[in-house]
Amino acid sequence: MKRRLISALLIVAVAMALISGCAGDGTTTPQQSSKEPQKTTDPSQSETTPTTIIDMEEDPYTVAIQVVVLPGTNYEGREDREAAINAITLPAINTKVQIQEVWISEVRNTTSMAVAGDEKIDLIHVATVQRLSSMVGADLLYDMNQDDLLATRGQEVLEVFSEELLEAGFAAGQQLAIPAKPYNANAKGIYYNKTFADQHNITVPEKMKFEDLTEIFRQVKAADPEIMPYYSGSGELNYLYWLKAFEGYGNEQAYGIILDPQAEPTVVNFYETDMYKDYILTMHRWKKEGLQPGDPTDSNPGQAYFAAGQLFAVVSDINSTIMAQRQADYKDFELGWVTLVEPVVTNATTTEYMWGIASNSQRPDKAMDFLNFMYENGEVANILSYGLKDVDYTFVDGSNSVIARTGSYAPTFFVGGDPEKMLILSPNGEDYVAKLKEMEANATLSPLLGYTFDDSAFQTESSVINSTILEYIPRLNNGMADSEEATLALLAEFNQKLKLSGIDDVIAANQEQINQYLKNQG
Amino acid sequence: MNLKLRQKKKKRNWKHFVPYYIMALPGFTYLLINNYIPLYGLQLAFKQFSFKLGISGSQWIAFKNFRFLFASNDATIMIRNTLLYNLFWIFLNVLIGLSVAILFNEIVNKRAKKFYQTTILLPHLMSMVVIAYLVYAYLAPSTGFINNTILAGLGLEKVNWYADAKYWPFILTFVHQWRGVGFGMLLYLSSILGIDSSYYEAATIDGATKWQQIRKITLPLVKPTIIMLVILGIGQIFRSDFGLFYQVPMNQGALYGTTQTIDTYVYRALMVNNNYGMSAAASFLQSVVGFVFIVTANAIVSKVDRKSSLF
Repeated sequence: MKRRLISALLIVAVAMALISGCAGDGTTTPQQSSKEPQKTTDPSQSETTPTTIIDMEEDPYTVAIQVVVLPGTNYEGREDREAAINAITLPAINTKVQIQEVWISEVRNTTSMAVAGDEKIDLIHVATVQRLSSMVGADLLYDMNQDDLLATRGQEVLEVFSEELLEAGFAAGQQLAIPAKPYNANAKGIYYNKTFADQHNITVPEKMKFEDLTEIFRQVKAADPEIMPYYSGSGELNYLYWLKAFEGYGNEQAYGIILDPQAEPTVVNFYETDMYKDYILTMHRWKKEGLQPGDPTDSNPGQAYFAAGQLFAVVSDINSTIMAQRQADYKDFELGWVTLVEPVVTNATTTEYMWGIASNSQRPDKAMDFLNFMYENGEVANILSYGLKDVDYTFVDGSNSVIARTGSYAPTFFVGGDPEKMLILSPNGEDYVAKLKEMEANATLSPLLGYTFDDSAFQTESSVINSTILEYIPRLNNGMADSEEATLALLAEFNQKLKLSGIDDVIAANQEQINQYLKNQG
Repeated sequence: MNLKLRQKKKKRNWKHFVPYYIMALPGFTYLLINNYIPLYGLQLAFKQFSFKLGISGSQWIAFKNFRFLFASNDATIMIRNTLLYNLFWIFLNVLIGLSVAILFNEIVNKRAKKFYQTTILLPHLMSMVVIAYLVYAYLAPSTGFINNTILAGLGLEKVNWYADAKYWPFILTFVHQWRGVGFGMLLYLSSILGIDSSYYEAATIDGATKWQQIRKITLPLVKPTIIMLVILGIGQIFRSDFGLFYQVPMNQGALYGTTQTIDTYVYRALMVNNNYGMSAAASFLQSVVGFVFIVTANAIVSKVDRKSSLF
């Protein structure tokens, strides 16, 4: 009995020794552990004199940057692109680069696993499916105001981005990200197969309202019953975002929306608005009429059906950059564009693409150096955006700034660099930047541009709300209920469940933070 | 003298087992790395995990992470689904697995035996994603084989299988059994093959029918295996096959009433939030409940038949 006890104690002791040996979670870098918590400041209030101190004598640090691409893509020549960037950055900022190409479908998991596991990661794609609004409470991002990093090493960033734009990355008292695009005005609407429309004499105005689409889609259906006029996909994304004007918070508007930020900044439950009710009733009618398939089990991207000529229209942001990229994507037919929402600069358009520094970055200072340099030196951004000259692109005849893709490299979700210093992708021409500036100047500026909701106190509610949204919106957005009455009943059930999930508390907190933000703005 | 002899014998015995210990080493190392060292992370369930501060540096928040599991009114549905599917499937696994194993044991032709064994085991080796698309090929609302060929052929209305939750207890049970029966059957078959054939010879000579042989010889001798598998199944009663419940119903909200389990709920709720603390809390709860169930089931078995209990 004694021996058994001794051997059991020995086993426990050995196990404890092993466990404690492996106990380091590795998420705390030596640099971080030696730091006292720093006071953080709003960039606009920072008074530190900008001074760049880059040690050119130390061993070069390699900055790992996420380049987000479409699922299934694996571009060749990554090492060549890295070598080309290193040739520029080593003599300039004593930094090398490691390009981490990540599929958009995996970027969220990849990021959190990399940070949690203390894997090599420095610059994070805070965009698309991992938006700043859902990362505030997750502690994944380094505060760029810590050690006055942004002020001392981000002069070019401060130069390129206005205070209002930088403020969009300021949340929970920290500068967690910076915008990726200096020009953030976006119109919203649809692009469509203009070649098809012209062939069948379907006239599509350049500007219209969402309600007018029904008639256009009926004409498409009559011209070719095999083609889908509209496609809701899996229904997990609220396409209404591209069809109507409003300012939304959280994934799929989980934290509420403001219908008209210019008039009255009141946060309401998106799913209780008449706008959403009308949309889902329209989707139901469109399904009945065969204007959309209404099958949430079909998770193929709409772009795939569009490229195959099986879909007439796709929702989209509209600006010069996107118009050129899309036309380059679909070479078999001409694209037409319909503006449904006039150009706006909002928190949503600004935070759509941002850059953050990983909280486990071994050298946040070097990550900031690289980020800053990307906006200072157009060539680095060109290589990351377009690849290498004569391999991935060539200059179009008669121009030394407009290029056409010749290779397959097209990192769809990479946005970085200052367009004024970068090459221009055709069919955009030399007037590209002027067009961007014009759109920005004419766009409506949201008074809540710099506001981001801090959801860190609502992690439980957020989890349950998001789960509830994913349960109901695929059916509602696809018009799957049997009748209009059944659609409304399902919507009522959905809203009842959202209330039980605590959406009203979250919206009230959002409203409180907005009021405080507006008060601080004066 | 006697003591010396005994000591010598013990020494010899210890040396005798060294090769076996070495053989067990990789398995032990695997268990240690995969099952024991991660126990350190259990504390995450009680912490506000911060990527910056790490596991040890994060703040303790007691049971706050467990709140989200019960914050939704879906808690009853997901717990009900998890428990009922598991209970029913434990019963079915024994019934079908054992029946197939007994039938299998009767196949004399070796080639036929190999063929059936491979065929029945094949689904177990398939990825759940592949299975999900196989099921979809049959059930797709507009292009599926059942709607397009069978129901259309019979002149019946199409059924939107992915929009009505009532069909899914049957579909999931069928898919689960189709995929798992081969593996379950193997466990019972190996146990049946270990039964001394002289029992059956003697029973045949005494004029026992096949059914009598099964009832009086096979079942009593396979009983320890049945009990072990049932107890292990009970230990997993608060868990579910994520692939089966998430992939096969194509993550359709309309089906959550009968396809939502604790694992799928946790995944859905947390895939947006990156909240490791809540995930750890859910997993911790599943482990604790599984442990309680295993100990209880074993205690009951031990009371009825001490020899058949696991510990």
